[in-house]
Amino acid sequence: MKNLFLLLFFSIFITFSFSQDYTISGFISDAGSGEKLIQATVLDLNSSFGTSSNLYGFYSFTLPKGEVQVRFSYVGYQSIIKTIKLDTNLRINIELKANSTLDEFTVVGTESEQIQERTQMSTVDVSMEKVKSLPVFLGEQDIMKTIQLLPGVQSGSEGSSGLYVRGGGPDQNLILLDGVPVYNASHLFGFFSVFNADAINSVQLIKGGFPARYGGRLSSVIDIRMKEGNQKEFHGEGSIGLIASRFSFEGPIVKDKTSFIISARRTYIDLLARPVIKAAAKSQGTNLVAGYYFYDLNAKINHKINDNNRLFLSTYVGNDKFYANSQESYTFNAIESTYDSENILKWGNAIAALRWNSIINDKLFVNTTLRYSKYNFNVGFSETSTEKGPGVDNTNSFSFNYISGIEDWSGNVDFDFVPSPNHYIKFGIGNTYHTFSPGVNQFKTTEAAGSIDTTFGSRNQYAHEASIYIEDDLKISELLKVNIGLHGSAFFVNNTNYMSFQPRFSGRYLLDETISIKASYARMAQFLHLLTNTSIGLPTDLWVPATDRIAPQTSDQIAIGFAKTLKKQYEVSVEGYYKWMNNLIEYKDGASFFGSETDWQDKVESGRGWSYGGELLLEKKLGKTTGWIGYTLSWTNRQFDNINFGEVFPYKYDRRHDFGIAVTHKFNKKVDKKGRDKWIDVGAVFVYGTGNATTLGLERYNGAGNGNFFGNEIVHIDGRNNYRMPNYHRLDLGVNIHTKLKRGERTWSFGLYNAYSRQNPFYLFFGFENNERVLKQISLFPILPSFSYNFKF
Amino acid sequence: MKNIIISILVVSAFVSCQKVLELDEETKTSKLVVNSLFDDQGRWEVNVSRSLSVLDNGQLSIIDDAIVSIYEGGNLVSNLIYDGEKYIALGLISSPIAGKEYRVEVSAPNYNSVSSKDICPVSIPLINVVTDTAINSFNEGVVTFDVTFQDPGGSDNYYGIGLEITRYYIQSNTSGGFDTILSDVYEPYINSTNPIIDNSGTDNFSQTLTFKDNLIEGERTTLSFDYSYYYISSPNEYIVSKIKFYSFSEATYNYTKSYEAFRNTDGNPFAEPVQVYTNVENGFGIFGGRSIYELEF
Repeated sequence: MKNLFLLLFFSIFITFSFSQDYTISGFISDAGSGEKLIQATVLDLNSSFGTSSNLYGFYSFTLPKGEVQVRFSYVGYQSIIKTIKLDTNLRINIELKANSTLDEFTVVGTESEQIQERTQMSTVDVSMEKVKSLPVFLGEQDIMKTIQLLPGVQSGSEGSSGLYVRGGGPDQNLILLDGVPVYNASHLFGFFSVFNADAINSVQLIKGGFPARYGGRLSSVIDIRMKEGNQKEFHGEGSIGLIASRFSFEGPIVKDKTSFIISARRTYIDLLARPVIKAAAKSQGTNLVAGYYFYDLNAKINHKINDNNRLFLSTYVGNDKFYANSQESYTFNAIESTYDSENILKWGNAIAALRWNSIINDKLFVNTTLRYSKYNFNVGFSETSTEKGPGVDNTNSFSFNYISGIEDWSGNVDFDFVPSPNHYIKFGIGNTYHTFSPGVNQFKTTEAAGSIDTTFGSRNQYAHEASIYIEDDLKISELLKVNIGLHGSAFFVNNTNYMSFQPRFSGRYLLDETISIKASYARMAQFLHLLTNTSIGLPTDLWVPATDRIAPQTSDQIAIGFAKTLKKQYEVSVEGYYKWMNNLIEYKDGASFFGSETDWQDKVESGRGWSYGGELLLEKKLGKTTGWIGYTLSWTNRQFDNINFGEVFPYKYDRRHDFGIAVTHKFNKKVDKKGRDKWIDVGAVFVYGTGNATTLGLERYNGAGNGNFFGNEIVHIDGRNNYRMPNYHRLDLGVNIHTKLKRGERTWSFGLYNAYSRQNPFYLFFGFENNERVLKQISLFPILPSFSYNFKF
Repeated sequence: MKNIIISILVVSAFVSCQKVLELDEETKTSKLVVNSLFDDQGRWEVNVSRSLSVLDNGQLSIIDDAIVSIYEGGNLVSNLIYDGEKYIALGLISSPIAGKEYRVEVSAPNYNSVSSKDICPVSIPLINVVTDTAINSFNEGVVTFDVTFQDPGGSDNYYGIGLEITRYYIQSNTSGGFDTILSDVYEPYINSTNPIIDNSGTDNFSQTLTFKDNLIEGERTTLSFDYSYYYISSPNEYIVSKIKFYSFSEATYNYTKSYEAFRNTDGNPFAEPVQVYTNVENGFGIFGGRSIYELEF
């Protein structure tokens, strides 16, 4: 064994140190905006060796001494071929021009490396153009809803933007915005996600075969990168829709050196509804102000210190708020009495990242990040009553607040090391300091007799989560390429420590130029749990840490499949997977997030879960008609010793069949009467899914009581998640009418959500119809037309 | 045309909110319900009634024409007789015997036959009981019990603890003496913070605390629990407490634990639904064995 290591060491040493190789490195960016291009391809046309740019547009490419022809390309952009005499290390920054010479509709997409060539499997790059062109719910473009259309990803209930990936829960998705975890990615009870499409540059979904650089969640990584801001000139875009408007503005602060982007969105349901609510309340003798809104704000500054160093500061703030404030007053016997009440329900995220990119040398790139992330949920009410008059001056007040949330401070250092075209090594370390607030109640009263000010519930918990990783994208031969890595993590909470070593592997073997077989294995560990109540859909979910009593979640996932490119236009991938999950938590029978005098650890049970199935994705990325068809056949189960009497039960989102089509078609440009270019694109989305599982008691009988024959009437539940809701299906249609203006572009978007008004189930309840007790289904959204006006300048 | 389209859209928006769903025929079929919590101190008693669909507003009436037979191994112990409320055993063999397994078979016209089986566990005695009474800030009496028992070890044991409170008051009678009058008998909600208790977490209070021996296998164990009552300030009133220390079969344990959770959360829309355990094949209910060690003071 010792000799083997020595042999390996010397072979690497010789390869890296004594060969006559030189390195070309630099950044690849958009010539028009200076925006860095992620995963742009760099290819040596002589040797067919290649590499691609990283998340920050940096590439490093080492080749033997001599004359080389290197092609820099990115789909949708004109390629550049450079002939380079390589006798020293070179720094070459490349600016690619958007492809204006071709018909601009013939090429869309973000990938440049064909699917069969990529080592990574179970990964989808979501085109932002596709996000913006597909029909949308109430006119609001939504990244998460587009991701829901992909195979292996299931949505929650009607309208929800929640994601359930390969049988995992909503807490098992690592949603990163510029590398910072977002804990609650939804607005309005999940009907909209928090991501403003105008501020987003790229989105990547990983469902399995996770590279070692990712950790901390079991089921998926959704890596969302914000735009950096145009370094050349000022641009803006915005939208005025039915329920919300948004606006983005970007440009250089110092040309080619410092740029910014700021993007904001707010709903105005509350402003529109306020007069109606106020008038209705006034007719009842109450002065009521009530409403709901959400807003979010993205901002980023990007500063180039010099050719080797860049700084980025990005932030996101978003909040949802329901409020209802009322006031009543009357006078009796010369005593004026007033009664004020305030009710609020609000939740939101705040995140920030300070990033420093540095090129240490031509082969080594380092990214250092300081991050902050916070999610808060607060429900509360307060009441104040006063009596004032001759000899009377009383004020009584009462308030209650329930607060939960999580706050992170973290730091990471990540390295990209490219020693040769056959290796792309990434390694790094990081640490996160978590503060968990899993349900704190604040209760205050002030009366003439005295005051009470008390706080009770679960105490704050603090934890450190450290991580270290190394991975190598290793080209073993022209046909065989693998990505191997190891992710280590440790969690320190109170006096308990958990360590986890997670091997990762993914590989592809080319059967011919157009088809490859792929396989992957990933072990994942998650030190956070999300307590989710299945009975209601409020954002009351609690983030809680692993503790000495509640172990971290772990999973092992294997996947195998093939990928093929057909006629250079179609990509097909077929994958089968099996995932085992341990130490999942669920509320005990009868437990509730209310009644917080009980520690959350007493309310939960630990168990295991598993999911397996197959996924098919057929995607067309080029041409006037683009889109995809996705199908998933899957089984997802859970088993807890103390739930369902230890018997296996289906997961709530166990969905046997899940089918989705997302298609857009672009018609040719025409010139209107005013001589302006005008073009139309249309889109359609169809989804079909097996109904969600829910727990329903369908029979009733008398219980035995405690020794008595007639105890309470019992509603018999055959098993957890024993009842299948009706299947879900829906068709959405949309049309976008674009007009090129003198300065910019305008788009009118019209959409039909649920075009044939399918009554899809949202929740079930027992009610009455013609004096008969019946099981009823509530459907939220019938056919919903929408429109929005979008502009760019 | 434009007006027609707008009308269709507006109407569609308001018609698709609620819809009635059909249930399977299986869930609409009435089944036999058999309830019997038997122990080695009482006689055989079995209640037979019917189940109904949750959509059916009918009465969960008693079945009075059933044939109820108790078997021990393959041998018939007794055919039970309906006494106007329940089915009871008559004759010499009228009580279950600790350590034996019994089976019940029940049939009735128009219903599918049902059956169930369970053991009658051996009683576990309390070795020691210590009590203490204090008055809390709400002027309630809080009685704390420390009970000690020895888990036998070597097998899975299931336990329960309950209390029965009897309140009396004394009043003078016409002949110049005193009468003791029974005021109330009830089973109070009791509370324990001991981690071995598995039904104290949901809201901390139950009428029967249940626990397994997985954390105390073969150990001598002292368990504390308490209950509170309106403080008696009159010297003419007093209470008698009876501790009921149960040794449950696994089926009885599952039933008791789930039934307690069901009762505590019934009607709470924020609580997870509770499944009540049943061990009756083709029907519902519980045929469960238990032994009770009672101590009064």
